[in-house]
Amino acid sequence: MKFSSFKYLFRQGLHNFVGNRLMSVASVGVVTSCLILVGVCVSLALNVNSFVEYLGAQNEVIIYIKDDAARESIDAMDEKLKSDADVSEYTFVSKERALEEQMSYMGQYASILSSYQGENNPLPASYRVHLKDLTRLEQVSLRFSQMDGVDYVSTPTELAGVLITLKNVTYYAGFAVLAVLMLVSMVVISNTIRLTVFARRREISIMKYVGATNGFIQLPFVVEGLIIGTVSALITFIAISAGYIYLYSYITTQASGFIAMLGTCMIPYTSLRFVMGIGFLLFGWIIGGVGSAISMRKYLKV
Amino acid sequence: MIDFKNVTKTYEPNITAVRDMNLHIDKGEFVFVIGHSGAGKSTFLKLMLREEKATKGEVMVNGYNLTKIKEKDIPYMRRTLGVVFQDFRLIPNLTAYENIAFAMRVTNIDEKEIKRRVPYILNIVGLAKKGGKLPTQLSGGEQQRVALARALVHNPDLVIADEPTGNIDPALSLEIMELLKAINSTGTTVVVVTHEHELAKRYAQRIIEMRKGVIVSDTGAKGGEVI
Repeated sequence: MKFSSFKYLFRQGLHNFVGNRLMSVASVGVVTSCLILVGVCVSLALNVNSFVEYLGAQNEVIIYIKDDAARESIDAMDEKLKSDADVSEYTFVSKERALEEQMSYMGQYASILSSYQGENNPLPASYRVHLKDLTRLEQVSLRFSQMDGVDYVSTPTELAGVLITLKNVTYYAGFAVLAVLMLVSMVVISNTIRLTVFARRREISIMKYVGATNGFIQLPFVVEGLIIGTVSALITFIAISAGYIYLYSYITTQASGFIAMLGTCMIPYTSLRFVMGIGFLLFGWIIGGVGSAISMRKYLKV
Repeated sequence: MIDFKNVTKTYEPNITAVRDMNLHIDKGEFVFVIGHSGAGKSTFLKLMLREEKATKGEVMVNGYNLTKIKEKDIPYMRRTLGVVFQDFRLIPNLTAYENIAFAMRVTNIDEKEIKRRVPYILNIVGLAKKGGKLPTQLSGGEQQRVALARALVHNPDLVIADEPTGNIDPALSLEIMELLKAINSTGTTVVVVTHEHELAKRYAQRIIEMRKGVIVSDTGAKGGEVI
């Protein structure tokens, strides 16, 4: 296509967008609202994910070792854990260390436990293991419990289940919301463009008679759709960025309690902005392009 | 140039607009197709423009087989002919000049060529000084001349006019007909579809009369053929 034609088509698209300004503003409004909802859903889903991962990392499988286990069995355990693909990290906690920890929890009452030191220490030695993937928790625990010298394995199965469900729910719900909003935006854009197409049906029929190709006739309307998509994406990007930055700074600096804890695993804006910008733009372009293509079909049959 | 072989066009559910039509129009002919409303003239026109596809038979126009043509080739076929309508079909918010330039622009012709060709064509149709006027500022005859100029931008081998004088007064009709005759004299085939028998008798070399979807007479064809 010649550059002059391209310029002409782009100008026409812009002309449609401006000439049809009331509907353009309305559809930018609706598409922006949809995009903002998408943005909120996606950032929420990403943060829930990050939170779940954070909680998952806090969860330990504890392998309690029999008091009479041989030194060799403990060393063998160490070797196995070192080479286990499911293990992200592990630490050995000796009987003495376990008691010390217990005493430090008790604070000023620590002396109560002082008689349990040495030979009388009832606490077992253990390995505290962090897993890479919580969904493999049960299989891995079973494998641990079969190692020589293991008394029993303590597994946070229930919590892991909750976390996994939470992760799945956010994933599927996010996806469903995304799909619905995409459809809504597409219908809105295609309706707006249908109005332009209707207003210009005379021109379209003349174009057909003088031998303009379908692609040429369609392009200004696709450009109009893309403009609506781009403008909406830009507004959304600014709005979501501002909201996210504000929320992030509030949660990480001023909040307390549980919310402050959430702050430690909240994804910083800088690592989201690129994905968000590209995502909104793509979303806007896809619905703009597809929406306008849908509205054109009927009028091309001359 | 134009060839209809056993062409039938049936619309759903069961209306036959054109029945078993056989027709040949040569390059350089000036042909009138006449008939009352409902005779099948419009369908004949639509078949030539490939706005409709023949139900049966074969339609050839300017070397294109319109029964077999691919959807994507239709625009290129249409560039080989010019069409003029009864209602002019000008874009109301564009000047005469812009209306003609529009037809060139949408077929990918560059601005330099448009600037060269539009004034030339406006001159041919006698509107050299009215290029800047909007359709509403022009008389019916002038509007039809703009439409004719637009039909000529691609330098077509064939000009098809659908009731070109239907919306303008008789004196101006003659002007349009003179113009069509002048275009025909340069070797361009002209097909005029009309219900005005008088006009046809006055100008045509050849008159084809249609009635109820069938050609009932074809007089004055080259070689004196009469059906």
